[in-house]
Formats: sequence, structure tokens, C-alpha cells
Amino acid sequence: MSSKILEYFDYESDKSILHQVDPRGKALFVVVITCITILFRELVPLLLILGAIIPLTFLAHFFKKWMRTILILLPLILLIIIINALLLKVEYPTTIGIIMALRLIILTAVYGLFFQTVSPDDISQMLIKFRLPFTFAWAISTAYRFIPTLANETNIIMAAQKSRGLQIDRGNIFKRARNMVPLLIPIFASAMRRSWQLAEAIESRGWNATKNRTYLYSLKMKWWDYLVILVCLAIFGLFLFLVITQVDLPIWMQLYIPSKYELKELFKAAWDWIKGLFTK
Amino acid sequence: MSKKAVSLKQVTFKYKNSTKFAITNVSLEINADDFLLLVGYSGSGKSTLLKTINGLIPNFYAGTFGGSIKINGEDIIDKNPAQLAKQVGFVFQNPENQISNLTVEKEIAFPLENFGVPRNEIITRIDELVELLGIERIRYKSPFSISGGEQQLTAIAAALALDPPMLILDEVTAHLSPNSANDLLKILFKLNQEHDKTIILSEHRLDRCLNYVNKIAYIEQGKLKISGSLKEVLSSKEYPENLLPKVPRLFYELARKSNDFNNFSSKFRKSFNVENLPITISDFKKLMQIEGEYHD
Ligand SMILES: Nc1ncnc2c1ncn2[C@@H]1O[C@H](COP(=O)(O)OP(=O)(O)O)[C@@H](O)[C@H]1O
Ligand SMILES: [Mg+2]
Repeated sequence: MSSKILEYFDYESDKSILHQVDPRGKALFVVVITCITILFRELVPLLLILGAIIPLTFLAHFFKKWMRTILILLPLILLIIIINALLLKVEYPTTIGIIMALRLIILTAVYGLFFQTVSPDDISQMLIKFRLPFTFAWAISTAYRFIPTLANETNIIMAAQKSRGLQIDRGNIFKRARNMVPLLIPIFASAMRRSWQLAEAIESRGWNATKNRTYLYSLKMKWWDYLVILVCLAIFGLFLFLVITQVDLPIWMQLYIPSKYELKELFKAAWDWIKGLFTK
Repeated sequence: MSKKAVSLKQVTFKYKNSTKFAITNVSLEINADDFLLLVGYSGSGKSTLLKTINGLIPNFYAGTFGGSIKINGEDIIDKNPAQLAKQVGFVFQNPENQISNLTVEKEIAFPLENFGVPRNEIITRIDELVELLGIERIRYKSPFSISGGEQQLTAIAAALALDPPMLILDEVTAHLSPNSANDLLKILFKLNQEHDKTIILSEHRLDRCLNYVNKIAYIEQGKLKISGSLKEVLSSKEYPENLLPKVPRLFYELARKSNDFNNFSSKFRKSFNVENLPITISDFKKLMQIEGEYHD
């Protein structure tokens, strides 16, 4: 499970159309969609955003992986809907629950798209273009590049400790937490050893030898990147306009789940029906 | 007389969190045309000794240091590894933990980028290195999708990027299959013979290296016991029987079975001649017939 979640962050080095877009454009896209997704409180706009993003997941060859992630998150998504629907003291709690879940689904898609199509190198190049120091950019991309290695190693250590009789997923939550200690120590030790060896290696390859480092590859904006940025800014502008002017959305956008289909009501009806079965 | 590449005098080092010295009073001279093999059991101080030559010790590891180290006649004690990268290339044992870039090509470019080499020169240098090491095929591949041998070749290419005259390799064949270990040694031999690189290689299995190296140094518990030509070292009393290459060792085992152990041992050591070292089984049989008295 843990490593399956990590898989979601893996960069896929294939050559989809979205891989050709400059990471700065994609970062802006992520920021804009995140803002909009969090701030919209209506169901229909969120569904529209979702509808716009699904084709993008196909373009990036990300759809299948995204669906797998959603499947893993399904219990959480259902929990969000149910808890909101039953506990919120507002007019349409089920709608709010669904909105919350939709936000989660959209954000997994957006961030997934980013990590799927932006290589760690691109991330560090992007940070350098944002004028962050190379040391920092390097640390970020290296941490990111070691995720799969460490995930793999965690699995090996887990298997090793299990084969020595450690019961990792037994007992209550405190017991389980304590069971993690024999895992954490070797994982931590090995990560320390790795980073030490890596430090030795880069030191021996002339790390920080001069102030003006050059780069084999650096980012260059193409015409389509300007287009992407323009579209993102336009969407953001439209969104700001809606927020600032406080204009009402058209009626069809203000759709909500009618009260007779509220989850609470449905549960009550189901409960009555079951009771009916027994009293008969 | 050939040029001195490295000169260690009375080099001593104790790691900060350790109670005993990892190496004590090591003195060693390495010529520019040498292919030196550093032999010793695990924990004997091979890595520590090698790290003193590129400045990792004492500039990267804290500890107690004594002695002097010269590279091409120049004292290097206060130079850090980055400053020495143009003079010494270093390849480590674990290929995975020394590669930090996402393609082979970028890994080779990394030292050149660090030194601010212009982009077009970086590309020319990568072209040369992938050809030299025969890794054109994996140039654009991820270092994590290639074999261990290819990873080590990538690391060697990166270590050679700045064209240092000397290459140090610390048990680089440890994670490799016998075949790729052999290929790697052949490439090191070529670098030594055709590209005038000084090569310093540590190993604890030496059989496969004997065809290529011209000198051996043996280290035991932090002390350099003996160094010199193959013949000098392998026939010396200081050199342990257990680390003899397979064929002489076979002689040694045979001798132990025979009653005349001491006599054989000294005789063998005296008559041992590396130039006639039997490599193949038929060589060995020939030798056995000459040494008729140990036929059974
Ligand atoms: N980072 C370190 N801190 C403390 N002691 C070390 C460290 N690295 C090696 N040692 C010790 O120094 C001695 C020599 O180790 P090393 O040079 O790695 O030997 P070798 O490479 O021949 O296996 C060993 O006793 C080892 O435990
Ligand atoms: Mg070692």
C-alpha cells in the first residue's frame, strides 16, 4: 500500500504531448486549478473542471494510473461524503460532501499530471529559473529521484523483518506504531549511508568547484508554452472576476442534490425498510 | 625513471568516532604509468587509504590525520576533493549511490557543469567518453535501468570527464558478474596503456586483475606490509597465502598435503615466477609435468 501511493509520484519518461510543455507552464496550471478548485463552492463548476481535466489525463497517458490512485483512495472519498452528509448542519450537506470529494479527485489528477510529466531534472531547472540556489534545486530533485529507491528498499526491509517473525500489521494502532520501530531504524540507517556515499561522490566530481556553473540542458520556452501560460492566466482572470464582482452564477450552475435525496433521508428510508422487514 | 604520480609519506588516519587507527604510517610511491592493485582483507583500510589520495580524507571526514601526500609533487593536504577533481578521478564501490543524475549523459556532464565548462564543449566531451567506454547505446538511458557493469562504466566516464591523469577505483567489481568485471578491467587496462592514465584499483579478489596490473600493494590492519612488482609481492613472506592467486594457491594446497610442507613452500616461493604464471588449465598441467615430483 505505502509503495503504491508513492508510485503515484513517479515520473514517466515517455513522450506524451504534455511532456513537451514547459514545467513553468504546468506549475502555473497546477496553482490556478488548485485555487479554483478550493474556492468554488458549487457542484457544476467542479464537474466542469473535472470534465476538462479528464482529456488531459489521457493526453499524458496518466488516466489508468490516476484511476488506480482513486481506487486506493476510494474508502477515504466515501468517508468524506458520508461524514459531511450526516454531520454538517447546512441546507445541503450531501452536496457539500460530494464537492469535498470532487476537490480531492481533481487535485489528485492535477498534481499527478504534474509529477507524471515533469522530470526531477525539470523541477530543479525550474527552481533555478526562479533564481533559487543550485544547491537547493539539486537537493529537491535528488530527494525526489531517490523516492523509488527508498520505497523499494522499504519493501525489502519489510520482507526481511517479516521473515524474521516481525508482525507488522497485527494489533491495535499503538501496537502497530511500535511495530514500525524495527523497520524505521534500518531504513533510516540505510538512507543515511546512501546520502553519505552520494555526498562523497558529488564532492569527488567537483561539487561547487566554481560559482558560475553551466548546464547541459536548460529550459527554453516555446510558443506553445506562452499559449499555455496565457490560457492559465485567462482562466485565473475569469475566476478572479467572478470572485470580485460577486455575480451570481447562472441557475443551472447552482445545482444541488434535492433534499429528498439527501444521504440522511436515504439512510432513514433504508432503515425504515429494514425495520419493516422484521416487524412483518 | 618514470614520473611520480603519488607520494604518500607516513600517512596515518583515525576516524573521529573510532578508537583505533584505520591506517598507520603508510608510505607509498606510485608512478605515472602504474596500474597498481591494492589488496587487503575487508576492513584492512583500503578505502581509507584511497580516500587520502583525492582529499576526501582529511577534508571530508573528521578525524586525526598525520603525514604528507603529494600528487605530481604538489602537497594536497588542504585541497578538498572538488579542487582535486581535475587531478584525480574516483569511482566508488556501490554504483547506485554515486550516480545522482537521471540519464547517463547528464551524469557524465555533471563534473563539467560544476566547473562551468561551456555547453558545446560538454557535448563534445560526452561524445568522446561514451565512445571510449563503449556506452553509446545507453547514453540517453536512466542510470537505474541499466546493468551494474554499465552503471560502473557510467561512473568511470563521469570520473574521467575532467580528464584527470589518475583514476582511483575502490572495489568497483564487487557488485559485478565475472564477465562484466573482466570487461571493466580490460577497459582500465586500455586507459592505462593507451591513454596514459595512472590506475589505482583496490580489490579483495585479485585473480582476474593479475593480467593487467604491474604493481601490487598489500595492506593489513591499516599497515602497508609490502608493495612492488607482482613477483616481489607474491613471493614475499609478508604476503598471506590465502590471498595468493588461484593457481599458485593450488600449488600451496598440494604442498600442504605433501609431507614436505616447509621445504615446498620456500621452494615454491623462490621458484615462483609470475611471467610463467599458468592461467589456463593446460598451462597448469604443463607446469605440473615439469614439477614432476608433485605429480600425485
Ligand atoms: N566512516 C567511518 N567511521 C569510523 N570508522 C570507519 C569509517 N569507515 C571505515 N572505518 C573503519 O576503518 C577501518 C578501515 O576501513 P576501510 O578503509 O573501509 O577498509 P576496507 O576498505 O579495506 O574494507 C575499519 O576498521 C573500519 O571499521
Ligand atoms: Mg572498502
